[in-house]
Amino acid sequence: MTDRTRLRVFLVAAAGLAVALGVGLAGLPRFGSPASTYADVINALAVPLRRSTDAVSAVTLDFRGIDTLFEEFILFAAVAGVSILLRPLSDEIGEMPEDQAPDRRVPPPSPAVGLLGTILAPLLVVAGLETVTHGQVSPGGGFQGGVVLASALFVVYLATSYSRAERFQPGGLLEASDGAGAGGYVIVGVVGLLAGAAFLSNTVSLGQPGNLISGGTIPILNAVVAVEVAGGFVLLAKEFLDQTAVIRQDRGGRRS
Amino acid sequence: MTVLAFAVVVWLFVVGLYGMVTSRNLIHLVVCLSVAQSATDLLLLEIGYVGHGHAPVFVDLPKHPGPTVDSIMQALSLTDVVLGAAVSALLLALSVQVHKRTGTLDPDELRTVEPNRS
Amino acid sequence: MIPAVAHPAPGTVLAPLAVAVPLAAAAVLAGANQRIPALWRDLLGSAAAATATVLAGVVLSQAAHRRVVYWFGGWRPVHGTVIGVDYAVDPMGGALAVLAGVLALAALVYSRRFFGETGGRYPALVLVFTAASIDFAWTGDLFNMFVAFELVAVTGFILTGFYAEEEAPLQGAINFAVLNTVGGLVVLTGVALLYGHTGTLNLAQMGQTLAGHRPGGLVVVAFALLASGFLVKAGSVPWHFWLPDAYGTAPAPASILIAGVTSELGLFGLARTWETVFSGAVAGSAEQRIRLVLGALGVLTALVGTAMALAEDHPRRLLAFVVIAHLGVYLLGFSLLRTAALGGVALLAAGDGFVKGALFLAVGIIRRHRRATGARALRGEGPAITIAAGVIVLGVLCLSDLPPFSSSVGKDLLVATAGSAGPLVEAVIAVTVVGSGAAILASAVQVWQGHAVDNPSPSEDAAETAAGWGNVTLLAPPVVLLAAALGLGLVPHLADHAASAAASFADRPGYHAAVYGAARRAVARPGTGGGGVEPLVIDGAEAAASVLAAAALVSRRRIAPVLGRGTGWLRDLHRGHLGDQLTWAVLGMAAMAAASGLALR
Repeated sequence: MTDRTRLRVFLVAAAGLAVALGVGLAGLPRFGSPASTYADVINALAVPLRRSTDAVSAVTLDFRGIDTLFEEFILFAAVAGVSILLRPLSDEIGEMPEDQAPDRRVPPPSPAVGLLGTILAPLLVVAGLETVTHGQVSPGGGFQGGVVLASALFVVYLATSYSRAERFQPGGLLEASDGAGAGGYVIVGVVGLLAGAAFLSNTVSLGQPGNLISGGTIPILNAVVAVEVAGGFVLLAKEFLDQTAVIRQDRGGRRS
Repeated sequence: MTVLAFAVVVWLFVVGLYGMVTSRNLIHLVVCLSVAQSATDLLLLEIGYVGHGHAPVFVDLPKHPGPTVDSIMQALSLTDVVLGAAVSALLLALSVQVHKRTGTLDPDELRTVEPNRS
Repeated sequence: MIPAVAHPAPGTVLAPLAVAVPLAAAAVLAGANQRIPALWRDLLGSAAAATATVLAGVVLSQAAHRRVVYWFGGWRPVHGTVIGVDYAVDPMGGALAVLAGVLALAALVYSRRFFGETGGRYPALVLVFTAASIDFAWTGDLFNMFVAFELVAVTGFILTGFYAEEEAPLQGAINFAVLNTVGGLVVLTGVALLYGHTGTLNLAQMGQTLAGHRPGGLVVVAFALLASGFLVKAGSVPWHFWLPDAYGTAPAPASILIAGVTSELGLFGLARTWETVFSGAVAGSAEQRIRLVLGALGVLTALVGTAMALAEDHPRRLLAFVVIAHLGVYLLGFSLLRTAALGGVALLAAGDGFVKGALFLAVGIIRRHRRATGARALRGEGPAITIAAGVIVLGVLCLSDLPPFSSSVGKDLLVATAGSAGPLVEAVIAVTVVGSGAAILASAVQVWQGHAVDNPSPSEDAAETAAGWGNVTLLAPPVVLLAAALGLGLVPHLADHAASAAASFADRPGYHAAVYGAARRAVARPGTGGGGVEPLVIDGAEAAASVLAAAALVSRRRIAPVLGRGTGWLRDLHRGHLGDQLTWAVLGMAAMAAASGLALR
């Protein structure tokens, strides 16, 4: 199709789709209507049965915990996939570049950025841990906190240099944490089976609602998810950075 | 209010698709995909919204907190957000390789699936 | 109203394990990556896939007696409101899970010699794909189905883009990713609409809520969105454009997974949601009209797939069009909305799934051999090549629905139960089978003589030649897959089993009762009829016609220009342009919504 024909066909099709969506949405209850019975039951059960004051965490990690297991594996697959797609290909090599002008002075990152990074990185770590550990009490959890934790490392990279940030992210350890996070979720599920209950059943003491120790397996799963997400996101960023910093076209055979 | 809320969903979805169909840059295309995706997230949250409802967090509530919004729809949109991040990361990785291999990010210039016929 | 967090019934514990085992193994493989020796990695991956297959097989045998219902976290429904997520496994879902497991195992064994330095990530992705497929086939929750749908797509397009050195696989992966993600968004929109309307995500509860009410605009649109989304994955016209781009460029072991499982999953998703959610709300003339819509789509898909297979030179793209053509037949069979016909479709899909897997692997072996040796012609290149060629020829016969392969039983069942649509179904199957069989045979002969266009590129991982006897791990999977298709056809009373599986699949009240824990006896098996001499004659004639047509195609010099003129415009549509593919997809969705509106209202 030429660009013009395509645009015309698309506009007709999109108008049709928009009408269809409009018809569908018009059938929904008015915006702001009372929630479904399902939601009311969950909201009513989250505290008495799960001792989790955050109903969203109770849904993602308990009532519908199997969804989150697969969601975690989508992230896991993405990390593995990016590593596969951005691996040093058959005509590439992965090694730190040789400094072509060792006598040239590389301007250091500005002291303002350095200072901000020094302040921000530990703060992000604390905020991340806080978000992860309080998922069963208040909004937050492993995914949200894990991303905050990973961003602490990006700040280190921003404030220093690639090689310095690299020291904080040894590939093997990150891979292991990626696997451990994903596998940990499965293990928590299987522990439920071993206890004679269903997969992903709660197997530990539930604690008191509102306390740090509450929600049964929810904080454990949050911790596991945080390991996976933090490790995964750092690994993702590392693979993309490696593309510009380390991986290059292999010209004239592999150097030793 | 109902019309506006749902019209935004339709608009975001269709405009995201428009961006993807007319895109001349893979990075732009990935962003447009995220725009279309945000339509579904928004729809989930809108379906879950309850007028004057409070967040489904049962801590430090006032005496008569009123209704609670739908926690399930919030959980589903959380799942969808993670999913979108994963797909974006992978598409960006593919785009990086495309650029490295062909020197272009224009999807129109990628016509190599169909092998040359002699 | 405190629900009892009930303990699961003994014996049902295997259902979650069939998913947990491959996921856990995937986590170990990717986590340890290079730190486990390659041999142990392969053993662990294959063992996990084999375990999942066996577990799925046991669950299938349990489900043959009564549905296996499993509540995750033990959250049973509270006063009729489902609060958790369940697996509700019927024989159809069980069989699909076994198919996924077997193909994954074949892919992993075959990959032993196929990929060099991928570490643990490649087998990990195959295992995640398997677990997601099983989850999709078993889950009783619409949102969970969507998550599995996405995970299957994500792992699928990563595996497609494996040869990232080249433009074609990258483009194939991008088209795969974008089209399937848009399909996923459409499915999610449908899920959201249905939740807003019914207040549940559980298939059984949703179906119960909708049953007996004339579908309103929302339900119609939700059906159209779910159907288009699932058909994107299945590869039905006009959502099929990404499919040859992906299958044509993916590594062989990845091709068998996406060709043998993904298309089937898409159709399964449509059938599952139709039977459990929508069928109760649709009756009489509306059902007749929706049959027409789906049937027309099926016929169109079968014809486009066949025509493109005949016009295509590139062996793997050709196979992709064969996959599309067959999907059209399945869709036509499903559109009859008769339980026994559905059983026939299931048998066809299962048998073809094995055979398509064997074909992709055999083509992969030949390709690999030519890459390593640079040989053009294959005549006299060693026993492995002869075996691969034999697999291709036998595979074509099997795709021709010849007895004793399982697809022949399926086809006979389908035609016998099609009723007044029987001649049409028979004709479409004949065209598809003869056309695609001829295309594959002609292509195989050309490769054999050394005139193929599918020249392997040197940048793919260099590999030693596969011509000798040494490469058992390469040769065994295609041979075993072909044997599986044959063996399945020899199972006694196969047609009866399939028909009863389909009856259970389409039994909406029974599904609902099982999910809600009410005991219910299995549905009576419908009589199947069919068989006899006449089908055999037709099958034989079709196989012979394939060979004849192939012979005609090989002498292409004379007919190629004619064929080229006839299909040129069609080929132009399949140029792999992403904007075009999206435009067609959106057009298809709008048309589907309009057609559903006319049919169901």
